[in-house]
Amino acid sequence: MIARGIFEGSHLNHLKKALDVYSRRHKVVADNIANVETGGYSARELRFEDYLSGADLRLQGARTHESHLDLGRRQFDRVDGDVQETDAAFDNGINNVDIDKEMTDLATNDLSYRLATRLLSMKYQTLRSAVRGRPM
Amino acid sequence: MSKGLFDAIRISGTGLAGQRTRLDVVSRNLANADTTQTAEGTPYRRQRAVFREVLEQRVRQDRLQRDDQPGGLSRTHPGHLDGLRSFSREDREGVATAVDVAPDASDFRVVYDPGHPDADDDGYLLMPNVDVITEMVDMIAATRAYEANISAVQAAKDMFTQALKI
Amino acid sequence: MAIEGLRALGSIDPRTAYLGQSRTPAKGDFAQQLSSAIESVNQAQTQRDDLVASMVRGDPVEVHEIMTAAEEAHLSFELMLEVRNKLLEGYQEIMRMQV
Repeated sequence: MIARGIFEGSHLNHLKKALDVYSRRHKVVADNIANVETGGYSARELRFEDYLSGADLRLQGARTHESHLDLGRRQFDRVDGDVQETDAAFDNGINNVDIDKEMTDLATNDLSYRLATRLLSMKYQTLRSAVRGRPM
Repeated sequence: MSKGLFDAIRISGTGLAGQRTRLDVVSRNLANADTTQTAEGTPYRRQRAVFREVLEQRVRQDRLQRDDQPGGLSRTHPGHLDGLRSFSREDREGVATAVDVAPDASDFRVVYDPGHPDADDDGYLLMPNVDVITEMVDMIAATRAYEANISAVQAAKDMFTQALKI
Repeated sequence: MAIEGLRALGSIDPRTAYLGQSRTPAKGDFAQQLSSAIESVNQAQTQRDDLVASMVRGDPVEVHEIMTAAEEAHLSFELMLEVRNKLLEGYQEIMRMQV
């Protein structure tokens, strides 16, 4: 009875996927920063959140909106982030890397990663309590 | 993701970009402080960075598709709002800053220097309307403002990290 | 003793005493106590899970919102465990008495 309550939902998967996305995104942003003065370089970004428009993250009663494309009907687990060249127009004189945007993205991504990590830890701690049968 | 704090960081980022542009302008002015002949035939005209606030409206995905782009994605530029079909669930508004570089309309300096090749028949010469002292002061101000924005970012990060200890 | 044990839950720690108060007044029987606690846990976990889902999607979720929800979900779960354990202890006491 108690165990079912814990394992209900795959929100552990949400957090794990989020961590995966954030760590990959870090690399992409770091690449951009490293290449801020590289002639011919094209700034990239890791897109993920945008693909979740149709994938319903709740388990019960998945709802799909008619106007969402097939892309949106994928279940959350099958949605992965991918690296694409950014379409934002920016010119720093050498290429299209906006160093200030990259630095702030680096900061916010780092914070997101920390938040997801913390939430995952808390979740495991709850599970540990359940396994032991008493509060940790 | 985290509305308030991440928005704050992003907006600080626009401030950083603005101050950086301001510094570029100062550098350009200083480099050309004595340029009496530009391609247009006039002396170099001082440039200045003009800051203006940008009311952003970011219409989030889920909620947004561009008519001309399947699976289209939201971008922050206000100009992109035209022609968008949106079921916006949340309009995110921030007041960021943007910088325009505009010419300084003040007059060129008239200098008496008959020996200069560009001097007119009376020996007078038009020099750029750049004052080195003004530029240095502006450079320091830009640097300080840049640092201030960095501090703001750091403060937001600190607050976020504190909340993780809840 | 079993009854005392259950009421004592409310004073484990004065700072979290309010957590021991179920949504329905504490005059229910043991089964009600436990099912109240379970209901609290479900609510708290659902609240947290919704926020996590929003967060991962990139929706605006404040960090303190999600952290407080996560902490409350965790605490209410642990409280439920305590309630269950106290119930078991109380039950064992009663069984021993009948002999």
